[in-house]
Amino acid sequence: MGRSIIAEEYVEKYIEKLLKENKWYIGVIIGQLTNQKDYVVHLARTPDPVEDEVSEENVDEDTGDAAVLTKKPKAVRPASLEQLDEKWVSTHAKQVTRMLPGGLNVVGLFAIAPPAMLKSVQAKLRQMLFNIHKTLSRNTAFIPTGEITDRLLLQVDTATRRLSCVTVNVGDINSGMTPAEWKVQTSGGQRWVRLTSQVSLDIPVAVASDSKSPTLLKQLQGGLSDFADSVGRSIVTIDGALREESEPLVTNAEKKGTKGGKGKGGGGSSSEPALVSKSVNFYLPFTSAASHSAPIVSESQASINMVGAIVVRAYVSARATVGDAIQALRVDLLRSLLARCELLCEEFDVIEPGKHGSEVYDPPVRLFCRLHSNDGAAGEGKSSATAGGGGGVEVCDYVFQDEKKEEVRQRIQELLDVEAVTALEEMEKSPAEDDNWSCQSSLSAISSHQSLASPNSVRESAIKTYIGAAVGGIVAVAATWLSYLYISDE
Amino acid sequence: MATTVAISANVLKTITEGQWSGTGLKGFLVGDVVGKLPRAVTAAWQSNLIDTNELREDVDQCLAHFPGGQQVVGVVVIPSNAKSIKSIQDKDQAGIDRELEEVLGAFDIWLDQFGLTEVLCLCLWQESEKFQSALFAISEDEINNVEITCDSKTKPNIRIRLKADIPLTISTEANTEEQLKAVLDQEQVKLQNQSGNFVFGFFNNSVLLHQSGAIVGSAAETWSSCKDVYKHFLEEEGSVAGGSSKKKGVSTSFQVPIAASMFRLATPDFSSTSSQYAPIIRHQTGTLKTTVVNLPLDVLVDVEESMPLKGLSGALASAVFCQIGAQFECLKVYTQKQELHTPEVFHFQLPYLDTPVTVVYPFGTSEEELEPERQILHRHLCLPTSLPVLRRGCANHFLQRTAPAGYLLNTHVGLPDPPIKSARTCLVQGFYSYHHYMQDRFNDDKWGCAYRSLQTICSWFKYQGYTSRDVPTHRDIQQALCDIGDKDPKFVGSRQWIGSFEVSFVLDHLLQVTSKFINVASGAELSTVGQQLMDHFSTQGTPIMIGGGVLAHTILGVSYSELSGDIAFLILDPHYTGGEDLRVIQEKGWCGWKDMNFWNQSAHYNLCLPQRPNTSV
Repeated sequence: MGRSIIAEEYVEKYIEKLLKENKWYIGVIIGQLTNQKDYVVHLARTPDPVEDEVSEENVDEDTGDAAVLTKKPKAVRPASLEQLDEKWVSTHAKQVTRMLPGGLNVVGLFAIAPPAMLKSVQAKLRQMLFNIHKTLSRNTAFIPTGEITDRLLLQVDTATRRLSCVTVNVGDINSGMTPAEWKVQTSGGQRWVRLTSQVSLDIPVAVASDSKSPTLLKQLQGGLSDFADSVGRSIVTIDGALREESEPLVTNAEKKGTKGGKGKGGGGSSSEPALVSKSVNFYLPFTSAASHSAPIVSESQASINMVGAIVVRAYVSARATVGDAIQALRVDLLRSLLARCELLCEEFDVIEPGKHGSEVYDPPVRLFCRLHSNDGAAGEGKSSATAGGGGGVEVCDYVFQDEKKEEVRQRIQELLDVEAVTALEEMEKSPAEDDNWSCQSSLSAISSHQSLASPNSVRESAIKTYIGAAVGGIVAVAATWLSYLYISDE
Repeated sequence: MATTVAISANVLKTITEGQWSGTGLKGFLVGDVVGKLPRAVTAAWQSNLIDTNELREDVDQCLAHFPGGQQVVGVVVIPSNAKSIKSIQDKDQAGIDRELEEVLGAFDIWLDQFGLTEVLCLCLWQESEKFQSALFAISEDEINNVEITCDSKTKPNIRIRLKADIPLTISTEANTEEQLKAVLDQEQVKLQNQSGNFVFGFFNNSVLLHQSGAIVGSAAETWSSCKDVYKHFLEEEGSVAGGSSKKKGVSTSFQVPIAASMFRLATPDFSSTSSQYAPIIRHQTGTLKTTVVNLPLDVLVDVEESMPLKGLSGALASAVFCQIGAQFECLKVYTQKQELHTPEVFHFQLPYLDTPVTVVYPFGTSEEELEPERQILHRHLCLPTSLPVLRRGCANHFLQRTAPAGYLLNTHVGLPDPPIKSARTCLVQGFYSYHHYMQDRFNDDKWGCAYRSLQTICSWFKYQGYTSRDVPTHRDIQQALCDIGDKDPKFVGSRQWIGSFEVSFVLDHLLQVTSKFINVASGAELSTVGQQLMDHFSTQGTPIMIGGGVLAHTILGVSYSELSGDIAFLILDPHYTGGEDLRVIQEKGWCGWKDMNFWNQSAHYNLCLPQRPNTSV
């Protein structure tokens, strides 16, 4: 039997909107795959590729951001899906994944096109699902993955407006396309359970002298995988309780409670299902994976320490088990850490070979906003019954200290293809906000043998390489208006 | 109003036989506290307390050697002059007040420091070569006499053993000891600052105990005191052991500690405004030396059943804190040539004190290297300076039912008393393991009994710290006899019996242990050796090998009535061929009290009585 997919009503509206344009589109499907049903909360079309006429020589290092704002990116839209660069979509999927809280994932692709065009790209679309899977799982081996390797492929024919959905098992390269059942939830939307937590961490990484990891990112990933091991063995309490992983997350008593309180049906915003929110504590174990009696001494070329606290959030369906919830939280914790490291390293050319000394970097901090704002998220008019589809599911983004909120809003709108971004919720405090951040108590634990870079020098370094040397080549093909977004992660 | 405090005669003897010198404040008293009142003294800790400003450090250093739950309950004072001693002897209150005020200064400092409403003060003075003692209780405004009850202290009801591994990654740029120590200091501060977020896990982490006393876990919802923890522990143990209450009956005298683990609550308090910052990444490049070392925490906590959970978490937290300090101290002290030694924790149960003692030794050092450290510890704890009681081989046996290789330890514990009226009983001292036929996948049925008895004796010398040599195999024993020329080379690998003389040769050759002998012409004559055996067990305390006819046995104790001449022997029988099941061994008499009928009345018997070698600590 094929997979059974339930899409939010918002998703249907979105497809209708795109159909009206009478153009071809491709994009990612955002949702949650479970053993019973798959949930789709959102579709986001992949922005048109742009050709950026910025060459490395043209970028003034000191005013890199000014340059990026003044230049005019030229959208280059391929004539058809056949001509689309597959990597472009994979990169979009990766960017989007960073913006998702735990539990939500890029679970597939959608394509809207005339029937002939669709017909000619069947093999390509299938291949793209594999490519996305490969891109998303590269360097993330330490992040637990679900057992489900089926991915959705939704196709809409612009001529007949007919919708077809199949799944492809990306865990098996010989997998064919299996028909799936696509249903739109019409009564009030899916109920989601929000899980929130914070985790303070202090991750030491020693980079061995003979390390094969040339970049800071690779080195950080090495450290993260040890931390991931500890996260994997952590104990998680939900609303202060230790629970069996096989138990349903939302107990029957809770379900009744919300139903009774809400009443049934009804129009307008009151039909929005109550969002159940649970707070979660992480307990990290004091057990070493490798027991050794004698100390292990080695030469290193660098010592890295990641210290601070991060906000962790995950969404799971109301039918999820405690184990599903914990898994989603663990994924979020690790994904968020990795995202910060990636963004930092894409932003700065942090390693200057041969340089000895110490440096402190402040990676971007996380902020959240609702994926669908209440007023007409579907863009096209207000649909009274479906307002707030997605039950308040949030997305996140990471912001550097010298970025403006407006830039973040634009980025979210662009990458997730939403029209309005409501209030950005800033849960995390950047240490750079504090003038005395280098001597704050949370940082006092830092070994003093490493002299802290003064806050000033940090700010400088944050500005100077804004565009990033990774936009290499004479004419760089970069993404939209923010070059770092589309830096290829090859 | 006199305060009543329990000190066993044993502990008082240990303290007064310690090497005290000088005058003034010379150490701490360690013991149990109920409420904020000292209730028992279980040990003394000799230490020169020079600066009361650093008292906290001294207290932590001292308490790191005792289970959590034990506290500093008082001080040891050596009066400054003959006049003060006379005041104490004459119970001249004014003179006592004067002396103690002079030594201690303001009393409230001590009450504050120890967190007590009454602090004990043990005065020691020398009289005809021996220390005499008097105990006082100091409260805010007066000094009281203390009534000492000698009745053996009621043993702690609940013992918990927490184990955790704390990995440290230490990178230094310059290869100097100073820098290494500086980094260690920082790591210690960092860890101890975190210690407020340590959370303790029980029962395979199905129950979590926060330091606030809050307990999480479906089994624990109604728990309020340590008694509930213990009850749950017994239920779980019972179900693991097969649930038969009969089985439990045998083992009630010995209880393995409740295992605990440790976690760090990584989620900060949401309500607290002093929330932490988002992560930063500190990056240092250069040529660094990185050492990854594990701190293997192994903490004992002894608590009363009635202690509330908050008290338990507090005892665990402070014990962990103290041991982290002790492990860093070990790392720093034993940093040699910029190399670190992993700390290793050892627990000892000593006949001289009423509480276990915990010591952290550096891994990978020899016993000889550690002798100076042991000398200091013996002095701190007032232990005799001629017995190796704090060597690593002596440690941890009291926490286990079996030795590491699976041999049962001290199989006589839990046996009923010997059936002799008005008798004195003397038993083997310390720990041995039970060696018998068919162990080690080696079939020595019908010929190996003396070998096995010898193995039990060797285990005793190992577990008492006299040797770090493993218990010899049959072949090792035969080879030793061949090496000393007692046997031909073809004896090695044979199935030939050995007797009590061979046993003594091997002990001498392998362990440098000499033996005394008692020979009796017939089993019936064994009734006459009662006093000799009593003397042996009270002075030497080693297991005895007895051979007669074709049989060898091990004698672990004797019960003897001088009045009636009645005698019983505690026998450990090496002819047992079954598995390591204590219940069978005790119920079927493989380890048990035997009367005169046990012996072959007409056979000739030789008893080999191993003597403790003279050795240093």
